[in-house]
Parts: sequence; C-alpha cells; structure tokens
Amino acid sequence: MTSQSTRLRLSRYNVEVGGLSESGCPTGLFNTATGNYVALIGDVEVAWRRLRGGEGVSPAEAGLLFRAGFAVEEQLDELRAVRLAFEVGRRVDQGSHLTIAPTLDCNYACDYCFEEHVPGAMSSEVQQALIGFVRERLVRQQPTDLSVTWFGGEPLMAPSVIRVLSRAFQALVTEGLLLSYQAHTITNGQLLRPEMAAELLALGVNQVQVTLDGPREVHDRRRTLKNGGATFAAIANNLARMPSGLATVIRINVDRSNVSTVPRLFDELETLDLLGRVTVDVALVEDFSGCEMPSETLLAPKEFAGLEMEWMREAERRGFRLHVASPSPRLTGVCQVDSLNSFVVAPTGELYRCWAELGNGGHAVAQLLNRLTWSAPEPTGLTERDPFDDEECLACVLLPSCMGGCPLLRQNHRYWGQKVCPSIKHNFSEVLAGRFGQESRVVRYVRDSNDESAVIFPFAAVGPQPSQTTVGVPFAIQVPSSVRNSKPGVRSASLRVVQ
Amino acid sequence: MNEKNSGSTVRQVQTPEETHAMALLGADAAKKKKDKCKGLEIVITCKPQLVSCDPVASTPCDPVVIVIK
Repeated sequence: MTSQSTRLRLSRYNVEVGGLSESGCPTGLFNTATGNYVALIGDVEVAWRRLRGGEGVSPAEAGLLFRAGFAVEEQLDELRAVRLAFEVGRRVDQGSHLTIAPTLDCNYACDYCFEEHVPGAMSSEVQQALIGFVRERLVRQQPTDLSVTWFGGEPLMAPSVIRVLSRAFQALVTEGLLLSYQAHTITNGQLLRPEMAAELLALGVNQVQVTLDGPREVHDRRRTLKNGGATFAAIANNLARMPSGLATVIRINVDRSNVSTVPRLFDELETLDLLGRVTVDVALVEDFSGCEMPSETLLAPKEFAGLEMEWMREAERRGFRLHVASPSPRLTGVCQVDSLNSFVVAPTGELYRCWAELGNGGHAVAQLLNRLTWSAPEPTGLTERDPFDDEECLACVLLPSCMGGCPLLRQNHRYWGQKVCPSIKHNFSEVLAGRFGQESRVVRYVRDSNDESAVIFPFAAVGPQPSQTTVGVPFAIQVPSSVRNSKPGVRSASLRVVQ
Repeated sequence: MNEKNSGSTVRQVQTPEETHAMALLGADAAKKKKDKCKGLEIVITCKPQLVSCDPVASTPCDPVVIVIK
C-alpha cells in the first residue's frame, strides 16, 4: 500500500467536556460540527495527554482522531465547510412539520402570554385547503414524513378540527402518500380529561406538553382562567389519569418571579405521584420583542444556565427525567424556520414560519385559501438570516451547534442593539458530560477506512491546549492514499452542482 | 467532469471544503433519519444564496443537486 504524508491539525470545533479528572484530563472530547464524542479514558486519555504535552500518539489513536473528525487536513477551511453545509442543509427537504392552531381562542389568561386570543375555530374551508396543501404541496413527487404540533390558543377548545385533520393525515399514510404521521399537543391541560387524552392517542398524538409554572399557589397566580379562577387542581387531576402510551412533558416557564419555586414544584409533583411518570422541561420566559432585555423580570441566559445545572443534579438525585437541551450540530437548521416544508398554520389559513408570528398577518408567507401562494412562500428575514455575519460567532467553538440560536430572538435583539447568546453557551461542558457520561464513544461521522494501522505518527509540535478548546495546532501524520482519496460521509458522499 | 442530469449540466465538485461539508451534512441527515439514510438522496433545486427560489416555483433558478449514496 502506498502512503502519502498529509499534514493535519486538530479541529477548531473540538470541545473538552466535563471537569478536570485526577489525572489532569477532562472527561471527554466533543466536536460541535460532527457531533462526535469520545470519552477520555484508557488509551484515548493517554493519547490526549500526549497531544497536550507535544508528544506523538499511536497509529490507532491517530486513526480515530482523523477518521472521526477530531483532526482535519491542515489546509481545510473548516468554517467555510460549516457555512456551506448550513447554507445547503437548510434548503434541503427533510420531512415536513406543521404547527397547527385549530383556534387562537384560549380559556386561560396567563400574565406572560404573547398571543392575542381570538374567538372561533378553523373553518371547514380552511381545513380542506390544508389537507389539499399537504397532499399537493408537501408530498409532491414522493412520500414524506409528516409531524404535527397542535398549538393555539388552546387547541383542545377546537377538538373537532383536530379530529378532522388527524383522520385526513392518517388516511394519507394508508394511501402511501405519507411515510409516517405523528403528532404532539401543547395544551394548558384544563380540558385534557381521560376521554380526550384517549382520543388524542387514537388520532396519532403520542406526546402532550402541559404547563405548570410552580407549586399550586404560584401556578394559580400566573395561569388563571379568564375569570381569574385557579387551574392547578384540574390539571393535576387530569395528569393523574393519563392513559399509558401518551408521553407527558410538564413545562415550567420561569422568570424571576417564580424561578425559586421550581424545587417546591418538584416536591408537589412527587407528592402527587407524578414526578416519575413525566418528563420535566424548565424553560426561560423569553422576550420576543427584544426591547425588554435586560429585564428586571426576565432571567438572563447565563443565570438560567447555572440554575439548570442545579435542577439537573436534583433530577439525578431524585431519579426523574429532566429535559436539558444538549449541543448538537444544527447544520440542517436551527428550527422549523429553516425547513422548506414546515409551516405554522393559523385558523384563518395564513402560513407562517415562526410560532411567535402566529396571528400577525404581516408576517404570513402564504395563504391556504389562495392556491397561487402555495408553491412559493415568501422568504422572510428569519429564513434569510446569516448566522455568519457576527465576528464573535465566527470565532465561537459552538457555532456549528448554535447557528445563532433562536432566529427570532437573534433578529430582535440585534434590532435593539443587544446580543444574547443562548444559555447552552454557559453550561455546555456540564451538559455534555451528563449526556455522554456513561458512554465511551459516540461517533456518527466516520471517514471510510478500515485501515488504522497505516496511519502512523509522529505528530509534530503539538503544544499545551487551552482548557476549553483546541484550535488549529498543526501536526503531521502519514495517511494512506486509499484513505486520503476516499469520500468521507456516512458511507460515502459526492456533491454535484448543476450549472 | 460534466454530465447531464434532468436537462442541466452537472459538474462534480470536490474541493476539500465541499467534501467536508457533505460529510457533515450526511452525518446530520443520518441522525435526523435515525440512521435510515443509506442510499438517501437529497435534492434541492436552488443555489443556497438564491433564496427567493422555491423547489416548485416557476421562477427560474440555478439548481443544486446533492446526492449522498
């Protein structure tokens, strides 16, 4: 086998994970562009220590680093590659997601809600237009996956709309036009009685998200009926009778007024025998207008990140499931804004890109009742944003797993001359350590080669690394031509540009 | 290398950055598809920067075809 020397360097997107161990090494290595993780234990830890100390590593260890993307060719412009991947990835069809509001009406009057509640439900005309849109616009030439989020207003105030549309989507699966269909519901829980929950399950809903904003007295102050009535008891009663098979997420929206009460809600859920049966998701109340940051009411992402770690340790101690977002490459998009075939559907037929735009007609990109708009929804400031136009972001090791965060928050904060990085920037190391703590390797990006033995050291001039990132230190290994010339990817890949 | 594809000229592109980008996208697609993407063919029909185009729009645009096999 012929070998050819190739100069490599460590990827600029490597992140050391976790605290320092007794041996002086972090617990793992994560790459924010590939999503690959390797625990720094055993031989790998030894190799990493050698690299930090400027020494060479064994052929097998060098092979892992190169093939798993922790090392790249010295001349590779990784930032340019990430940019190309994102620009292409967010224009790729990968299934469809619809966030559907059967109504904008609501039976609650929450003090922080950003929506204007409008009586009435989606008309039959709009429902049939939506079914036609899915059939003709989303499915097009080939079947696709469809997922739906029932949203509102309070979606369970218009159950007949959910019924008609769900059955239509399920029929499309039977016809072979959809590969799969699944749904989840965001509801305040007031109307989620056992018979309703069972019907949702039959209609393809496999998860419901219900909000409890604190222990009983706190929740009942923030989330009231329109007449001011309390709501905690009714929700808890419904949650206690949920059918098996319908996963439940309890959402806790926090700001300064209720954040300290989160552990007391954990206590109350435990007393109600609910804590072990649900997933808990604590989320920041955000200012989507951008004009109130910094705010006396809202928590800063950095504060939230610290608290999130306390709740994570509490969840581990008590043995319940806490959802904590973990860094993961977002090269095919940050959210449904970056999906060509994903829309937010208003009961009046307008299609939007972002949930927070719902009901604001000026932001609609198409109208279901006007077929001429179906094929070419208008681009918006959100869909056309450039996450690469910020010098600090360009230099950030988290860029491939962040891409500027929520497009709407980013846009609005910039309008008001502010910059707010997502909370994950402040706790990614601990979150990743928690996520991968029990695993030694998670590798999903692999260069094609089974020939590690041909990858040989010595590495050259690898100095001590910064504590959080390892950026751009060149070293050299010899790589067989069969590896150098292979096309990296899941198996292999090629890119063709049609001119 | 040029070839014809659906009436368009196809040029093989293999700069290191493009190759690396494809590998990253392939890994991301694999994750979202839960590793069911062997043989996945991803096709988009607009150059990324020509964002006003749409796959089914009548507006002419410069198409890009990406194939991961």
